[in-house]
Amino acid sequence: MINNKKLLATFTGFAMFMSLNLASAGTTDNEILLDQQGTTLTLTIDQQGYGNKVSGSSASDADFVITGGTVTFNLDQIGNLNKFFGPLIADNAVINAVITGDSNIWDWNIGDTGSADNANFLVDVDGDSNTFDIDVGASVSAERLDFDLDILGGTNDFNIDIEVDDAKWDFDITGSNNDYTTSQTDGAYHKMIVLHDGSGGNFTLTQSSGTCPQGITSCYSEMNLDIDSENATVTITQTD
Amino acid sequence: MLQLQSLRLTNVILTFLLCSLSFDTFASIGNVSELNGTPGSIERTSGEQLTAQLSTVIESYDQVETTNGRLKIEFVDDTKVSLTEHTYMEINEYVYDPDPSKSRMALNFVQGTARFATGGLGLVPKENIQIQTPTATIGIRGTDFTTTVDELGRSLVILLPDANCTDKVALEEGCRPSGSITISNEGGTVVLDEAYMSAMVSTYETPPTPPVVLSGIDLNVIDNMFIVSEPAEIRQAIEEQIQEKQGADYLAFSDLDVDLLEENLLEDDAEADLEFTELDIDFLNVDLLQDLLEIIEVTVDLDDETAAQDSGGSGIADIRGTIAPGFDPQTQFNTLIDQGRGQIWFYRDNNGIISVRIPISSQATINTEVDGKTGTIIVNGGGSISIIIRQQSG
Repeated sequence: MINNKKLLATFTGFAMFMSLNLASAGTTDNEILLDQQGTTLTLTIDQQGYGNKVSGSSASDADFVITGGTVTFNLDQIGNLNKFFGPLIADNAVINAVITGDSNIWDWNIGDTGSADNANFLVDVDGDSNTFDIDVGASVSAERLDFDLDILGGTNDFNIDIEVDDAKWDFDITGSNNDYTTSQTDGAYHKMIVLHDGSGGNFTLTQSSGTCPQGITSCYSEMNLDIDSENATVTITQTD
Repeated sequence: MLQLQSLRLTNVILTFLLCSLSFDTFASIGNVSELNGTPGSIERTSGEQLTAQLSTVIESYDQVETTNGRLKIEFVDDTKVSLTEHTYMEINEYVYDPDPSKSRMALNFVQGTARFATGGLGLVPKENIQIQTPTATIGIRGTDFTTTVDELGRSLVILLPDANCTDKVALEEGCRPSGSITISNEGGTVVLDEAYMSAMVSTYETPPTPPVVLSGIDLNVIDNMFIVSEPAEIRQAIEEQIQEKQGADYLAFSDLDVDLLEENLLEDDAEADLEFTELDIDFLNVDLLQDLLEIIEVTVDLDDETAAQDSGGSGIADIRGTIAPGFDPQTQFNTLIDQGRGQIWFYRDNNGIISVRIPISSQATINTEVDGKTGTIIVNGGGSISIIIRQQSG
């Protein structure tokens, strides 16, 4: 456990180079274990190689811990077969992530403890056969999210649930045979913008509004899809 | 001999110049005269897409769209059309002939807020000017008015005062309207003949609201905000219209339904009479619409055939199962064929907004389930991409 937030606040240029030893897929070559609590953290991880794991425990795939307001988290991960188990980031978080590689596993719980208001996420993924499981505001109050995700690659599988009031969820997918399931629930003023270009795949998009803010009787959700595809199945559910 | 050759050469040059003049007259029907904010775009029939700039030439059949800016177009007959932000207009026809009786203008205000002022040169007779919105046709007897059209095609038309007294003070001192205009659709016709007199049209089958004079407004406040929040006078007129309809028509509604069902089952040639659009239904009453959908579900097949004929006329995409292009009161989907983007756009705003764009060439099957009512839209035979849309009120 690292208690000195100043130490982590300057956590920049965190680079690791993997050995060329061809380890099996299940082997974890490098591990980063994080447990950070406190506000105004700026954390930059620049990781290259494959078979790495960033988590909260070497023994399991437990989420690493980052809590505290006004967190800026920059991640640049290049390589295959990496695992990245999730931040628990609170209010005013900014996440900029670039994932380049194949067969990576990404499991994030954002705002799992404490509120998760005013978040801004910008994530670019370039690779195939990646698996993403992201929950935002799952078990806490969360308002105002701006989430942009760009994926370039095929056969990716992602499941992203957003339970945030006033959330703009914008994702661009370019590639074939991607499967994704995403939802915006438990709030109001949802906006989902999807740009999909690629054949095949199954896409399930769900949007449902919860309680309107006080004094507002109509809190619409909005879903905009721009789809250029063949042999794909798209299921859209919107409940007001 | 030399003189003869010179004469022939002169004739050739004159002929060439006349041809060039004729071509230019045909090609250029106006230009962009004012710009504010982000430049709009102009799409030619050839598919060429231009960014609007000052003096950009406007041609017949152009489609003009603004985003976060405004622009004004001046036509060769001095007609001026101003488009506010997020406005889309199609020039369906503009024929300018030295013989004014042969000149014609047809504009389609599809969405947003536009101001139209006929030219004072008399080069295009007013009776030859046709202004269309998704729900109404505007006949020109005056000169100056605005239209505000929302995503559903609902149209708010406001007659403006004479150009010399557009400020509020002058209006209070007795300014005259710029003439009169008629607003017509299948539901009826109303005439606007006072400055700032206005009427709202909700669907092509619903009569325009009775005209009301708007107070406390001037040109500066007429923009797309009227889409979000219509003037109080208009809101009251709509409510009165709904109440009147409920008082008169709704009491007899069940009889009307029974008649329709009987006609549908018993008469082979009843297709035209059974079209949903012929029912006098107020689009604003969504719950009523859903009830009707259940009752007339048996007419869906007939409507599909009609829709196929409609879309087939465009020669662009074969769209079955909804009105295309246009607003389908059954599914409440607006279907637009956006040749500029090469897309078909399905848009529905009811208990949430769903907007789906697919390429015009897509073979798509779109199954809709709205509050338990189902429908199927087939694009180009369908079968390749499958889209399932479920939309439910809470």
